Amino acid sequence: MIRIAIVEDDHNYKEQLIDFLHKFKQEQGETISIETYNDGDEIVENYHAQYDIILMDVQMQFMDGMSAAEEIRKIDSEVVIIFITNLAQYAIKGYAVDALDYILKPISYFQFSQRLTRAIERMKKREAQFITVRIKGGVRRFQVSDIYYIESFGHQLIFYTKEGEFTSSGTMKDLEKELADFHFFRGNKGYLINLAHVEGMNENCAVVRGKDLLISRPRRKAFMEALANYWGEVIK
Amino acid sequence: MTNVIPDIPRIYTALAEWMACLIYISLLKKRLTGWKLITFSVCTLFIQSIFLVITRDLPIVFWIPCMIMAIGMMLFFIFFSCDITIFEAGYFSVRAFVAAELIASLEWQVHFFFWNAEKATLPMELLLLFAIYGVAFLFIWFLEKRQVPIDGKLNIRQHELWSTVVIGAAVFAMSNLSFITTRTPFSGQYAQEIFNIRTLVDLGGFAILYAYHIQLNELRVRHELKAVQNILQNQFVQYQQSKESIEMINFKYHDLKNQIIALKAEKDADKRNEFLTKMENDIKLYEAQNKTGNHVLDTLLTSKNMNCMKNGITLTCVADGTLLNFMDVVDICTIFGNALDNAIEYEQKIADKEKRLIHVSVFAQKGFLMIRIENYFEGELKLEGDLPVTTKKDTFNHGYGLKSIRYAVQKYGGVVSVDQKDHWFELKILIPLKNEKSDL
Repeated sequence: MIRIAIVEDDHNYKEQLIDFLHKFKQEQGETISIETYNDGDEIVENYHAQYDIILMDVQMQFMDGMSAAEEIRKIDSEVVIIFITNLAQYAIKGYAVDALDYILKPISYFQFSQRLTRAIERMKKREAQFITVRIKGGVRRFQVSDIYYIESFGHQLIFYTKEGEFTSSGTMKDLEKELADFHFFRGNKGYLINLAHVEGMNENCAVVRGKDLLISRPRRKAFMEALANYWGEVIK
Repeated sequence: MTNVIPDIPRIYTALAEWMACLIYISLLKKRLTGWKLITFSVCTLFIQSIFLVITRDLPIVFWIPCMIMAIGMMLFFIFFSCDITIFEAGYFSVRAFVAAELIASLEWQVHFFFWNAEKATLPMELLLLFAIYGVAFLFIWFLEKRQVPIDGKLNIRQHELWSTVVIGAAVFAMSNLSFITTRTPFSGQYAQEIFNIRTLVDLGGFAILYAYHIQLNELRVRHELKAVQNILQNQFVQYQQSKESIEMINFKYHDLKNQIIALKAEKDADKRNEFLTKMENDIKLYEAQNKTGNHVLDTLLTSKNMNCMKNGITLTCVADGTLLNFMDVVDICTIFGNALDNAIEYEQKIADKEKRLIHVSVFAQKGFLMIRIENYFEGELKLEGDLPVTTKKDTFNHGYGLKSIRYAVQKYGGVVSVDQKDHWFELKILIPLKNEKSDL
């Protein structure tokens, strides 16, 4: 179920968006719930991260779309915000509120459905996934996104995670296979890095949660390409 | 005639190799500076000298592996002193090796001419050594200085490195053949003759590599030139646009006045609406000024957007132009100009105008700058390996443009990645943003 909010003060556009969403629902077989608001201040007033996607007009009477998005971002960093505007100029600064997509008025169904499909794809990529790891004294289940990186020491694997460090036995090779479906990258012999936690590059190191992890030179290019592809998939 | 010819003292060779490395390091973008560089170079001189001196008396079979080790040390020296890729370091170490061989051989030949293998007095010997090394390396330094770009980055690629290595190996083999055996058609018999062959072959090798270098450099300049032409073209287009806009506004002013009069008189609501929509669309073109925070990007987007409007393409853009401020104008033009031209060219071929969509995003993602250019795409994208080198057979011709983009992006240590998601072609560029100079 995808929860969508429409924030639009023009009645005609609002009706059109609802029609499009119904059409989209039938075409794609997605279940969608729709709620509508007439102005930016209405959605901000009672916002508690209850939507997956917000379709937001930029120009509105009381609170414009950009300000409303700023307010929403304070509470919810995950929701996909797609601006709807008749002037590209108004949405060009969308990056400031992590809204990297917008739809131009007059809205064509094709453009609308394409952008929406992309948003939903990226949204789904960010859903929580888990792996179980045998650690000293038992088994532990990790949310994949909570793992920062894994370091190998001989036959030991150290998991650096949101909840601290955990030691497991095993080889990097097997672990790499196990995590193949997720976005991990082998920076060199000793590290397997969760791309979601890469913060920057520092000379030959990737900065992962404040720590410099060496990326061997021949892998640097592949590492950055993997990073570009990963972000390309998950960012709104 | 079979007595062993006195060859160059190994310490002389070590010094020549070390000095040749220093010459190239001084011209390239350095990673180490100040005392760090000085300490590091002094250490390498010691290690290089010791290595070459202790391996002097090893049997001839170890000679080639030792020489490879020596080049390896030079590579190590250059690679760790400079902020360059391994390919570039390999390229320059081969060139430094050939230069060192040439100078060492030249010096020894002169030495042999004066003293004919007899021991000269040490001061005289040293004087000759420093005079020839000094003058010759200074000369090479001047020669090279003009040909190495200021930022020291040449973007040497793998195949260019291999050509250099092959030339270097051939020169080395030919020049030293006489020392291993005199029984080949290319070997000399007499000492002076052997030295002559070596010096001349080394000189030839150095000249070939130098010429090859100039050629590579010119290729690089040509790339830049093309980008500059792109800018000029853009500026011209912008100028034309402003001129057209001003003329149009003057013209529209009268037009609008008349239309308002007509509107006032119009009683039919539908017709009035139609009128208004038409007026709205008319002025749309002039509202399409982009303000991203980067003038170059603004100009590019505006001119490309005009082009899009003419072709019924919807171009949408979310961009933080301030992130591009660290980049050269030339590179911004190369990246966006080429990427958008490619996208526009492709979109024009799509029959359904509703499907002609391009979306550009420029944003910071943690410590990186990310540029993403997406366009609606019908058909199947073919990639060669994991690299965005499209095949010529492919109707989707991203060929030359993509190469230039990659070339520009590499300068900033970034990567270009291309792929297809459903019906969307995606060009992604990731460039690490320099954090404040906290370290070093």
